[in-house]
Amino acid sequence: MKFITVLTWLTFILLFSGCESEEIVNVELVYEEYTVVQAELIPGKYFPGVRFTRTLPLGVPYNIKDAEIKNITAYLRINGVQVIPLIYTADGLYKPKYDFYIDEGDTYELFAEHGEKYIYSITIIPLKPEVTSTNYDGNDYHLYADVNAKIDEVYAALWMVSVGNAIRAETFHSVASSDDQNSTVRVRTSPIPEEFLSGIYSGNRRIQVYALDKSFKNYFYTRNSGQQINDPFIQGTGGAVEWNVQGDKVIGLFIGVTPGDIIEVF
Amino acid sequence: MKLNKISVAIFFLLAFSIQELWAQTGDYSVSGFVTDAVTGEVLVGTNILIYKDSLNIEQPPITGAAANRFGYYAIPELLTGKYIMLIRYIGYKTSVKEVTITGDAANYNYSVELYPADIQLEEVVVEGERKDKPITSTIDITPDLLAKLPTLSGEVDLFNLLEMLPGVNRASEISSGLYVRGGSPDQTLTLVDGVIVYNPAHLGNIASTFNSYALSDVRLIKGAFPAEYGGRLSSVLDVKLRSGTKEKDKGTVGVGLINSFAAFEGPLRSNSTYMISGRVMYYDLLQSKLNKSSTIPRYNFFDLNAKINYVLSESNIISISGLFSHDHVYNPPTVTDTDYDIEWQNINLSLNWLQVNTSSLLLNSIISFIKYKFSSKIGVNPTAVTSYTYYSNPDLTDFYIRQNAELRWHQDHTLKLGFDMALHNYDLLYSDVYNEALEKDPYAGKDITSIEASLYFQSESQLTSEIKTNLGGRFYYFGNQKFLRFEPRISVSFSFTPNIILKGAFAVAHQFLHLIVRNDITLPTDLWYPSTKRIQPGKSTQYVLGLDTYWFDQSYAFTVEGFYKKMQSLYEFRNSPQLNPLDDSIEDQFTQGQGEAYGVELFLNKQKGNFTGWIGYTLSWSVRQFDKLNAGKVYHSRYDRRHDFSLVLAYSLFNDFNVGLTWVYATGQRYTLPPGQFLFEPVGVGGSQEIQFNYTGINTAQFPAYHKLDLNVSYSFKWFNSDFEAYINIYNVYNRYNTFAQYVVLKESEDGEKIPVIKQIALFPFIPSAGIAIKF
Repeated sequence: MKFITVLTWLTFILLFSGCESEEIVNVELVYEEYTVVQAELIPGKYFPGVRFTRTLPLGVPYNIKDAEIKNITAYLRINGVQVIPLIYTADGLYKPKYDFYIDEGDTYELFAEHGEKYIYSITIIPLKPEVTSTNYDGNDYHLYADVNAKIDEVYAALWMVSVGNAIRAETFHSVASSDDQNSTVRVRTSPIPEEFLSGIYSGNRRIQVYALDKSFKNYFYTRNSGQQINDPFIQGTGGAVEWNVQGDKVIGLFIGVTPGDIIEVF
Repeated sequence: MKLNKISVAIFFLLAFSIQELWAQTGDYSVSGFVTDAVTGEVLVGTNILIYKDSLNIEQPPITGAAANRFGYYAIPELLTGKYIMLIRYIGYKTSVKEVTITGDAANYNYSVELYPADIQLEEVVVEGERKDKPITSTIDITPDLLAKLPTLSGEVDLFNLLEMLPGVNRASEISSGLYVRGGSPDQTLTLVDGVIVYNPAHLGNIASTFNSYALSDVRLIKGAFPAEYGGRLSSVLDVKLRSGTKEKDKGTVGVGLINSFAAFEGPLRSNSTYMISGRVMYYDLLQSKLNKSSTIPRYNFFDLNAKINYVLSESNIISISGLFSHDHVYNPPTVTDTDYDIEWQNINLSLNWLQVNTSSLLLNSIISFIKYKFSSKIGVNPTAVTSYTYYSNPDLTDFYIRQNAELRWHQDHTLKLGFDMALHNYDLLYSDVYNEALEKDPYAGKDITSIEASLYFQSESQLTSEIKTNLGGRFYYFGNQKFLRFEPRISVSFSFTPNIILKGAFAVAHQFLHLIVRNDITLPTDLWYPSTKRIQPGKSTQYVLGLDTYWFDQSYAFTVEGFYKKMQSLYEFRNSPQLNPLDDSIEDQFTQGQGEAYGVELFLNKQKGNFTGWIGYTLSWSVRQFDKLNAGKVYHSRYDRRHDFSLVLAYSLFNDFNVGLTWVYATGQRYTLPPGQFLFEPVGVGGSQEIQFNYTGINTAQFPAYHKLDLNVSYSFKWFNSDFEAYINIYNVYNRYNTFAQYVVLKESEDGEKIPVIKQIALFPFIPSAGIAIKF
């Protein structure tokens, strides 16, 4: 093949390195105050109280003294019958005058009033999860368990390894649920990190299944919206988190959580 | 049901009518192709004027025509006798031919070759809505303009130019594809020599998948497109590639620091030519050597365009084309919070047969094979509470048969008919967890096969000296769920004077293949998904109204256009989707929605002379509403831009000194910013309380305005009997730090307190480059 014309072309980029810049910028931030509610009710333990705080603007350090709300009127109703007032203690935490234990299967309702804002939530304390079998999946190194499902509950699981001090997953991988009362669902853990797979850890894998109020499912699958992600290429969805407390500009969880037994997985 | 039966009946009736047209006879006609006598390339838009008996340019011609996008013209309704044909194209010597119609044939084939003029005449750089075209919202672009504009990579590219036009947005400095009038990139139909390209852009629109060296003609229709186009909701990008010169073998080789290219073309035999061009970008290699601390994604690509053109006879031309492109983007080692590896690949092969029958009917038949593969593996904070992964791997395979017929049956009427038949196979794989075994698991993901058929008719008429119409309709059948749809297309123009034209258009369009994206991830996450029983075809309804004016012997054109577009049955991933490849729940992870876009575009275009360019301005709105996003509330789409201004100038001095300048100003991109922070304890797993951010809506904030000035200066000269061209290219002349991302980070104060602040990333500051080209 003959080439009559050949054009050569060269490019010299003189200033190429150090392309991108990162800087902290002053952005005019819009602040909207929301009331934040949190309570985790675990059967067999004392009622822990309910924490009421307000959101704070960005650009300031978070200080619980600035965030706590002291003037809320709040009470609990148990199984639609028993009413227990909650009293401010410290750091936005409201507790009953006398401690009492949380019981499986009971229904707890939260009523609160803050100025003209009304807050309501309801949760049913799940029964202890009935695990029928467990196993280890070597494909991506996770544990899983089969659980007898109940329709008002969802299930999640954590892996644990222990030689001396127990080490366990920091987060649930997923939640499982069923619309059928007597079905079995499979719930899995996140993958066990490579460093805990071999050697002394290999024979010490355990799984703990949690049963949670069914409203946890919606929260779990939208919770990333509220998280910090340190990457410019992957950013928060911004879609509102689905909380289980109701009220105008109110967010938070008032939720029953029942941990199951820790089971060794072979 | 009744409508469906009627639609089917009309569908087949029109299909048969194409064959009827083929057999049509009538008055005598003259037709042929107009090509460059040296290179053999077609000359789109050539004017052919017919005079009776003798040439008298003081008198108007009795009839005439303009060569279409195949370089083909047809002049019908001629009687027997002698005619003089005058063929004119800017930059070429005018040709005069004598034509004698004796009556022994229905059509007389007069293909014409024009020779380039020694001195280049006034140059038409952008033909925006020329008054002889009734197509609304259409802009034709000549490759000549591309060479004069500055770019980041040093290589001129089409997509950079398109983003300077009013109505075309740039989503961000790393986004790909065209955002036209509030539509997403998948809503633009991209055709290269009549064949669909699913992903025509390289990352960041650094370049398009078709080499600008290979471009012959480009048409962008921003909305309300005519019936000959279909299958997408918003707009059309119709690209024709060059066939290769018949003059002699030529080669072009370019070597650069971040990309290189090569192109070869020439004759194969006396009646055939070839053209092959390819590029490779190795930006990732440069980053790894010179800029190791960079957090910009590592990126490389290569692409290849090839075409062989056979002129079998004056009325039969066959071309075989191929396009291949591969892109790879992956995370740099400096980024540890995320792990991503994304690849996409286009393969297009096509056979294109252009034939003219004895009745001057132009028939274009295309058989094509299309394969588009995409793979996105993204992991975020693998050990933290926010951890999640995303994996999608759609593999699309299409076989297309397309036939278009064009008949200028009257000097004021042209009829176009055509049909498309496609067999689609969508092999879709997706998961929350990437595992190599998934790719081999026959039960993972979904495998969907669909038949798609469409039939269109389009009538272009000059009803009176003032009124032109383009009326048509398109019938669609999509086999997966036997969807039947009809799309009316109407475009009307009214000339108050030859230089003031009012235009209006209305169009309905459907899209049966959805691009489902994650709205929380800036990197590509494409999952193409066909319409099914639960996933309805997307639908758009568009209205356009505009006014074209031409001044100073058409040196200047000013256009104002208003548009409104309603989009229904759009789909996106819902928040935090669960992707299980082993069950049938994927469609549960989508949320259906709708969108609306409207605005006004102003376009002042200087078309002739040494000093050319344009000023474009767009005022627009683009909103979306999805059932399971943003609590069902309406929000502004990410590419909503209230103001978008562009200035493009090109100046030629003595044909050897050229200056190109572009300046853009646009309202900042929308993004999501939380209006507060709070402390929250992880549920169930214990652990300490963490600061979280209270996101209350999507795209509630805006980046600072985006503006940037780019400059290109080139100078051609001779040295030692060789031609040289030297250029200087300056990207972002005044070093504007345009925001690529803003997000909340926790900054530790001197007291050890963590304060949420806004961090801003800007990608491309002042970047000068220089080069020299040697031709010998």
